[in-house]
Amino acid sequence: MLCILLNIVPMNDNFIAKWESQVKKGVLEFIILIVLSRKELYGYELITELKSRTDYNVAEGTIYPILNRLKAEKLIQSHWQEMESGVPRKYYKITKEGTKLLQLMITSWDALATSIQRLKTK
Amino acid sequence: MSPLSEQDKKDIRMELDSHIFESMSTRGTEDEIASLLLTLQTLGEPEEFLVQEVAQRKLTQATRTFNPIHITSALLMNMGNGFIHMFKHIAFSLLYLFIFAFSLTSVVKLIVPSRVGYFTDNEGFFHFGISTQIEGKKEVLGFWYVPLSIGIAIVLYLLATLLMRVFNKKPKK
Repeated sequence: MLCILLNIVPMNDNFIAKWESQVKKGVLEFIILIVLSRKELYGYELITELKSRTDYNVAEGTIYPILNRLKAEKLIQSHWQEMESGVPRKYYKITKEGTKLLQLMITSWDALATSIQRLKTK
Repeated sequence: MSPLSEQDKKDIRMELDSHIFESMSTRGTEDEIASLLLTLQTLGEPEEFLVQEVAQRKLTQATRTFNPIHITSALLMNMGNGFIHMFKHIAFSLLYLFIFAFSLTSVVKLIVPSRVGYFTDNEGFFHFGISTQIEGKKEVLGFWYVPLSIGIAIVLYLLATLLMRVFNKKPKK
């Protein structure tokens, strides 16, 4: 019995970990848009904000292709700002189109959350 | 990063420099080498994030310029990224291969004119391109086939590139 339990528990943990990873990947763009809708941030600042407000533990470099994709979609825009340190920062902010899309995503997310809640209580 | 434009390469380098600088600055006065190693560790493997970044930028460049060299490079790069994306890019590769093969028929027309063209007969048969079964069939275009097939190939090339640009974007709600 113990042997069976020892086999099953790690498999469930692994399944949950993979599932959580997929869910997090899926909503990362949504979360980035939410964070940028509040304030203009530079790359490293955005990563720090994501880590402090969520329990995201992804490789920091993976944020940049996502930002580039959002920028290609014209949902965010960026500009370089010279700093006293001599190392410029690239600031990102949400565009008007990004704000409109974010509202739709929030509506969609809330509807999904409500549906899942209903399923759980039935 | 070599397939990218100079502007894109500079942009990526500057962004990575900025990230490394900010990350090391927040770690305070630790051992600089240890701080750098930790920064690079948390940044992640370049094969993981840089490949995606380069492939994404190359695809954007390809669909904006309509340049066949950029398109080929972008398709080859993106074929390596992701299983589903691979199928999408294989499909586009086959489409471009078809367009290229189709445009080659205009060259074959100059070499074997009797076997290439627009063939019809009285029974409703029609064939556009290279045909081996031409007995009883009439070729109606003559050497007009050459500019027509090149024109069709150009239109298909432009449409395929625009389609790839559309597929490159994610669906909006």
